[in-house]
Amino acid sequence: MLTKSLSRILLVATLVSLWLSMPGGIFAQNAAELAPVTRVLAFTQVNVITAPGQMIEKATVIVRDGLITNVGKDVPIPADARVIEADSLFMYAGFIEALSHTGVPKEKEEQNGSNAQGNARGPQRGPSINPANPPNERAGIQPDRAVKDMLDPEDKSIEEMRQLGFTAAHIVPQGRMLPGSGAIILLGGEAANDMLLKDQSAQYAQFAGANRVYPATVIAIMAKFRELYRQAELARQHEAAYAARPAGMQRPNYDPVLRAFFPVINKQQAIFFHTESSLDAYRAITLQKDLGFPLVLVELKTAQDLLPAIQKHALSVCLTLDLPKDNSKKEIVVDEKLEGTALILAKENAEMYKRQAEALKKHEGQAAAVAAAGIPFSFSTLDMKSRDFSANLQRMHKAGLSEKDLLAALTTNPAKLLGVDAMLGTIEKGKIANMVVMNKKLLEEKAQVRYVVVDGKLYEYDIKERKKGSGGSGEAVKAAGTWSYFANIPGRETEGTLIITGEPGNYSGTISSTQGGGSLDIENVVMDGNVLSFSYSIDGGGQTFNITVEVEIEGDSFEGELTAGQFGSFPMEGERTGKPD
Amino acid sequence: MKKYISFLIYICLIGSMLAQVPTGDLLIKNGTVLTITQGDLQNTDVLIRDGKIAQIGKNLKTPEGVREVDATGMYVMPGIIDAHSHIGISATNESTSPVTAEVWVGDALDPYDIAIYRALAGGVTTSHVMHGSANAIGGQCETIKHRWGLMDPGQMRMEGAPRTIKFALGENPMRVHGIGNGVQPRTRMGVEALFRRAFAEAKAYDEAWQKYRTSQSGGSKTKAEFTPAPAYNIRLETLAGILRGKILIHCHSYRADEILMLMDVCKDFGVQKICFQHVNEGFKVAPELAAFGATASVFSDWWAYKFEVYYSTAYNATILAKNGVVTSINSDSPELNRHLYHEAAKTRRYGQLSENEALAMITLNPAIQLGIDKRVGSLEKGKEADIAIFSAHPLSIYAVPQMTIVDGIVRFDVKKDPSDMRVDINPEEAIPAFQESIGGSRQSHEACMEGVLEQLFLLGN
Repeated sequence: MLTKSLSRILLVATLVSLWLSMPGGIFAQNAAELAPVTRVLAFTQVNVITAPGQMIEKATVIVRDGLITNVGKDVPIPADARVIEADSLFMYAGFIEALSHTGVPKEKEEQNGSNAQGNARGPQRGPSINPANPPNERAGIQPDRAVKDMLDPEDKSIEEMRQLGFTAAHIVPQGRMLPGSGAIILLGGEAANDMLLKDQSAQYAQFAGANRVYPATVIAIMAKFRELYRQAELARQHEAAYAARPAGMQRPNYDPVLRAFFPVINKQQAIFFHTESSLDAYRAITLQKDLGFPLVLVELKTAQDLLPAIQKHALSVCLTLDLPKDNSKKEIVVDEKLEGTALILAKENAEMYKRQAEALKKHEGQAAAVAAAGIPFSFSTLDMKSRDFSANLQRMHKAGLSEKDLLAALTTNPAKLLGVDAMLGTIEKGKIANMVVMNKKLLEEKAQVRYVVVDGKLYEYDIKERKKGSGGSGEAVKAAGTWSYFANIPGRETEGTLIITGEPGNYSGTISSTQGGGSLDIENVVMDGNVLSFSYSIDGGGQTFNITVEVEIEGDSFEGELTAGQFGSFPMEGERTGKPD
Repeated sequence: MKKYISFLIYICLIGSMLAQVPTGDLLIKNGTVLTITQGDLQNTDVLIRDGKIAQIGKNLKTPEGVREVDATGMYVMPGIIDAHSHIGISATNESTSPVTAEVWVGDALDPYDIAIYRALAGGVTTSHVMHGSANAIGGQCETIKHRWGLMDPGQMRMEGAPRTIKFALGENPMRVHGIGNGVQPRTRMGVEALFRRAFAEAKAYDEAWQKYRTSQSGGSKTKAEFTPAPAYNIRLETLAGILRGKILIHCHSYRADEILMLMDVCKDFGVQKICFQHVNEGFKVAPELAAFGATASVFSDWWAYKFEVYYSTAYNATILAKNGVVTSINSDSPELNRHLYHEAAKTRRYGQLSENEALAMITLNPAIQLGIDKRVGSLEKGKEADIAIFSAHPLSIYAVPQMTIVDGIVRFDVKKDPSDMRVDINPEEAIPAFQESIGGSRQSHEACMEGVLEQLFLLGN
């Protein structure tokens, strides 16, 4: 009797504290979190998927002091355990992001112009930087930075990923060509150091050119990479020789950028190369062939084109969890009554839509194809929007990816790739208590996360009906109003006003910039849930540039991205300053 | 079908394991064969084995399993070679520095660029894909074969072709760097000074490394002594390659005075191999070019699109050729490259060159300029089977390309030419095939400045 009421009190207390710490909870930022009463958890009657393809039904799982201490059928429940009755629920090992920016805030130093990096050659084209020889931070050559110094435990991306079931992440800094070294973190903890499982996990590289300074294009990045690597090899030899016999020898320069390559040259670190397109992947492979470093291809989208190369060079791969939007048209029927040119064009259009649909299938079928080739893979989440996670898993599954392979890509494969498979990836005695408990099996419809355990700490989630903005529903997020926006385009930070008029399903509007150019009509204004998207075009000296914007609205603010074709995507945010007239 | 699949797998294996490219067998029957080097042969067959021309003659026997192509009434010529192109690459200009010898467009090959297929449809089998002309010393170029359909960029490369590098004179580097960035070169004098400084630095660099290498390998074998290597610099290393004659210069040029200037610079630094591109005032200095041993790659009849190229003539190619300068006609454009045979034909009108001389302008002569004339550029036994088949004589306005063959494999066939030949399709956006091209909508003279316009846009002007 006493224990029952005690556990009820405990439950209420937990619920209150959870409510307080819920994202968006009004007191979330202020409430001091109470230490848990016990660090012992007992999940009972739970279906445990201990590893991909292996399940123990109605088992008990004991967690003590951050570790899994027991898993099985007839496991005694310790007296000090908080019991979680998990009948008919499904427990998986916590998911692992093989590469992401989770917990690493976007770099905003270029925003206010106080930092030389952004404004050195701003709109007024000040003469201070020679574009041929920019400082390293402007060039994006910063392998000496470490992501652990940028990790923010309060960053909302951590909670966003955790509530999907991710419990660990391999994170790297944001940046350009060489943004810095990575770290493996647990997605829970009060301070950055608490979250850190392994520092200096890898180097991160991208074919992202610097803004109007060297190296701006992929060809310069390739050359610069070769030069840095060879310089680093020479520097390492010099350092080694000097360490052995310094007398009479010229002292080696201390170059932090070159020194950052030493662990890679020693093959203690791999380079995780962001290679979305097959072309980027082939380019990274070219560098690897020339220089011989351990290479992991990251965020691949259509690895089907690469399979022979991946197998030949025994490369590790991370596939994207992002999928293209399904904009494909339904079956196009050519009107056979058409004649002449009109008929030819109609046929060509039908063919075009068919090929577009095929291309979409290729993206969705990537993971299945890589699995079929017998290549182990993990998932990287650099580009994935958290709201697309379960839908994308479903799409890949429908395209032929088995649940077992999918689960391996979320758990055991990344654990192995990152060298932490002794600690993470399965539900086994002795491993770190990272797990996710769902109401249904991962790929079943309406499967939702109920509990997440990170490092032995419990996070509870309510089952919610997904809110989805629909036409005229009163609860739908409304886009109409006057918004002030800021687009963080390096060297051309843009502020201005966005005015959206009309009703859901029939929006229109204009956008203007404080830099002039008048106000431009926006097109294709669509609200999907709380996601607002639109496009517009600007005239740049005889050429038309198409801009698309996609932002997520929360109350009276939005955050998202502005994409300017081949120039790339840039962060954009805004505030609602006025309601519609 | 099964055989076909295993054949495909076989090809993939060869392609990736041995870094080779697929080759084919073919017998082209009964065409008029325009060999370029050995005259025109009527009713003649060309036998291709393993991607090479095995035999040219009459009534050849068809070896077992070799496909026959009936070319009766058709004209069979060497695949056209475009000595100046920017197709099939993801980046053209690294315009942040007036000297970027270290960058190499071969690092950015894009085998999915539909412009490659379109070039095939014009009988073009090889393109010299160049860095742009924004910089005085631009990047290295790449000679590619149009092996459309292969997904590995490395397989576009014409393995073994000499390295080449783009230089540029005059207004482009002056505008981008002098006016745009406020650095040298602001004037034509600055361009020359830049060349001389770059070569001088490269010479010193090369000497320092030579000395270092000798000290490492030479007589004093006292192992304990460690000498730090000179600072590695990939730019100077590349420039040193030019001085050693390992990298051929292809220079964007218009004015005669500047052409003479660069030949002087080359003389002073012992550089012997240079091809002037565009070279619209080449006719004024044709004897000097011939004396130097420089070659020229020109437009047929196009000029006056900017101030420094106000003065030229459609007789340029003929005058250069008649003065003994190896001359080619190029496209610098993903549109013009589809009818280079028309461009060559203009030399029949402007200067009355012979048919063979005209065709050499788009076959053997560009091959010589690219250092690949031992392998392609004419139809001879032992050469690589890069062949274009036309419905009529290729210099006739009625000629239509029928089939284009690379390494013995049919890569374009007018009878199997569906409306959408792309290999890489955007899944989110429906883009009609005819719209998709890198720089395809640009004016040709802007192709050289690809990437620079975007920079200007971001500058906010």
